[in-house]
Amino acid sequence: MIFAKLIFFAPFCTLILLSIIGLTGQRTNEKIIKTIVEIGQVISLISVLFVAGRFAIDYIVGTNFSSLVVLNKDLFTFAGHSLNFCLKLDEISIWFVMLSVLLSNIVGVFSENYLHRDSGFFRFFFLITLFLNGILILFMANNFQVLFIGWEVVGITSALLISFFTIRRETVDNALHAFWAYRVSDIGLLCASIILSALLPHYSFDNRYEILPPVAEYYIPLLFLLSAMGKSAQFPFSSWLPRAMEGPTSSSAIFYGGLSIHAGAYLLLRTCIEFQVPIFVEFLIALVGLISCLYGTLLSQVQSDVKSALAYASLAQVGIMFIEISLGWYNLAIYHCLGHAFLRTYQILKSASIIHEFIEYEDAHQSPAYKIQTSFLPLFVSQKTISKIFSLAFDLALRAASGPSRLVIFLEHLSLSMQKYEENWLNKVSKLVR
Amino acid sequence: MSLKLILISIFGVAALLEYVNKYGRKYDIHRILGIIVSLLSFFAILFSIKFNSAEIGNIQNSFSLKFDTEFFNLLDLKNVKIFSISLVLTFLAGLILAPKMPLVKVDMSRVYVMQLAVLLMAQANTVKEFLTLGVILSLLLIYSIYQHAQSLSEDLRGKLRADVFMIYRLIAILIMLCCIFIRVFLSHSLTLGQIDIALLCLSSAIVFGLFPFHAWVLPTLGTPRTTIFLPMFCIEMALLYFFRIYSPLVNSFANNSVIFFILPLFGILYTAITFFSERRLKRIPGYLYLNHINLMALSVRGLGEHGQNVSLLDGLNLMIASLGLLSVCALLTGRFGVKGVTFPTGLGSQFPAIAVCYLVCVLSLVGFPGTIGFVQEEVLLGQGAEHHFYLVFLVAIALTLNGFSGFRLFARIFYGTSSEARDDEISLLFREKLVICSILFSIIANGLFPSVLVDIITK
Repeated sequence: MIFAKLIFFAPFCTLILLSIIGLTGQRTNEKIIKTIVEIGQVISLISVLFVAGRFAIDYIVGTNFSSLVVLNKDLFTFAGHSLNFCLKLDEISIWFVMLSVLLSNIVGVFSENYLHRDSGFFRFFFLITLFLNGILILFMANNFQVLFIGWEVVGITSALLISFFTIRRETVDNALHAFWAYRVSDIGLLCASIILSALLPHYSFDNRYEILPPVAEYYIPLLFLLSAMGKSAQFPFSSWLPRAMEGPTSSSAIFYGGLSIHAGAYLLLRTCIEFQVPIFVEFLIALVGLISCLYGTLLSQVQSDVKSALAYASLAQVGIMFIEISLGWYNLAIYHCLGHAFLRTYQILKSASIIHEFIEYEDAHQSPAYKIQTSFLPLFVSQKTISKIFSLAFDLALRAASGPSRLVIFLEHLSLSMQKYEENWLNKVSKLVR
Repeated sequence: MSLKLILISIFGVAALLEYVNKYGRKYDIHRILGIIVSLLSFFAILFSIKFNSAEIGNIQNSFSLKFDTEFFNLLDLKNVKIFSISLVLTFLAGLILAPKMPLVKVDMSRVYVMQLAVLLMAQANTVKEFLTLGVILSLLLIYSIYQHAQSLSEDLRGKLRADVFMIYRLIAILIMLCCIFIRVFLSHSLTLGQIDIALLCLSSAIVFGLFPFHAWVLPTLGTPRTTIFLPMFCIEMALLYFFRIYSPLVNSFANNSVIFFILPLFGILYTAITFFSERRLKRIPGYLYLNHINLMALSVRGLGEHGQNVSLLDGLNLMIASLGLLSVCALLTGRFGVKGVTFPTGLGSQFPAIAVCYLVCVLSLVGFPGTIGFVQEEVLLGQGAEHHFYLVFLVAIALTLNGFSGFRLFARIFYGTSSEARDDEISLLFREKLVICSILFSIIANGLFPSVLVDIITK
């Protein structure tokens, strides 16, 4: 299907064109850069909507929808060891791909004005496009080696964007801190993917619930868990997340609100779906999620700036996703991920202007910034509404997933109470600045 | 006419012209002559692939220490040509990047002789020929490094650097001579076992800087301010000794000789840990070179029959990326007069192309996807997982540490803003952009489409 290929190739061509612009010295021409990026993103968006529509139709009609191959190529073969670069859209990855493309479109539109006349305009859009390519590879990968490729690209673009404002030393130090956490967690994914390719040479995500060889039964999922903890800033790898908010607001939104923060959860989702993970490992996943959730919630209460508070709040929600994955509620985890990504992206995008609004205007809804944001985000009327929609959706999904049980009720209360804390905190801030 | 004679003619004439006209011409004529020489030799090697390999001789699979016997273990005919072509292109790049002034105190005629020696070593038929050329090249390098240190008035530091290099290289030559002596004169009267092979391995290990014989590497590869020839010749010579002497010999020892396994392993971890605390720009190529040469030594010992192909891939990655890093260092220090690297420097805003080149080269040497280094890393770890599981973890840890160290140095060198630095971007000369783009293109193209290179090496 041509649209499936366009989802990946449109941003890839955008990247190539931006590289050519960089080489030819047209980096200061914002109009050209904006045009190229917008065209690539719109093509990708239209393509993903077509593909999603096709999946939806298959689901409604009741046919078993097969996965769509976007790209399938053997990169090289060496002494029996080959790297098959295969990108596929299946019923899991389509959600994340849609999320990626939609959020990147939103952030792209936001950034065109946000970074207007900034000297790093070209650099920002180049890195965001490179990130989009990386995250699409990560979500569409058909095996863990290709997933690792996307994982690395996301990591380096994240570090380069955290250090976007290169003038300040703290920015650079925080970027190094984040890169260090990424690299340590990358060890897990690299080792696990290599060992897996040696033990199961032609393994791909087409095989589900594979039984791992006894020698690797425990440590491959544990290595994946290590990587997921690092990428999703779970305890004890959480210290980099608030520091990562040094970057531009739009990159913080898409990385640490929308996409990159959920990459760890996606990795765990794939691991638990693809393999029969031992119960001990599932328990560890749940334990990590629970500790991170409590840790993030408590710390978010004592932060002095809005972006750090949102960072810890994200951490907490991803911790809950870890718990959901460990309990086998994969669909719930996906819906949670989607809802959380939209909510957090919106909150982080808005965070740049929230204090300004509370100071300048009696009624924040009258502020120009608010009007601009609602004009291009027509679905997001207010934060309270978003929170209510999200909590309602979460509530319904939770009940649908497993029926009433004590654990379900506990998780529901935990999530709702965290949202209430956020709303209370924002109310306190607004009273303080008035 | 054999390829060797063609190369001797081309480089010999060029060296003679340079020697005779050293005092009258403008530098650009030196550069034009050098480019012509490089292109002629490039095409000569390229076209010789199509011809019969009669001048190279029969390919033997086993290494023999009879010094007149033809030997040709790792580098077969095709790979010799590839290696030779890459050596010529490296020389061409160095020539293009050299600053627009008389090539400071590294006599151009001597440079041609050294390059010729490297090319002939790559295509040597016999051990005797190879070792003789190695001795000549080593002596020329020692002399050049001393002369360079003197000319830049670095006084004690420069002299120390030259002293360290000289000591290690003379020890290697001495050990090689002992080996030859033993082989030629004593083998009939004594039962020596493998002592001569061990001595030759040891001297090769010193030449290419295997742990713990690496002390000369970091100061020597610290780029001289005006040219990248000397470090590149050191690297090329090291790689030749590795591929043509060490690699075939090391596997002739019994499998329980773990010293050849443990030393590179320690070397990898030692380099990764010490790189962690490094602050100097000029030391970066040295650390990454050490890491990779130890990885290559580990590959040939630990990965069975495919180890040599893995190390060849690693060697090519090392050469291209080292050329990029040395070019960056040479441009910053020689052309733009950057003296030290203490944050903030603000060089990124002035030299974005150089910053990108540096980042891509470092990422290639730490195995980042999309670069040739990722292919090498996948191949190395994939083979390692089949033979020695724990190798995967140790190498992954080393690559991780190197990746972090490289990125941290990138941030130190190119980020920030200095009160003395201008914010305006300084544009590079066309020839400099050409070299940088070529290096970037070769790294990324081989990373995105690696099957071409892998097929050439393995088939």
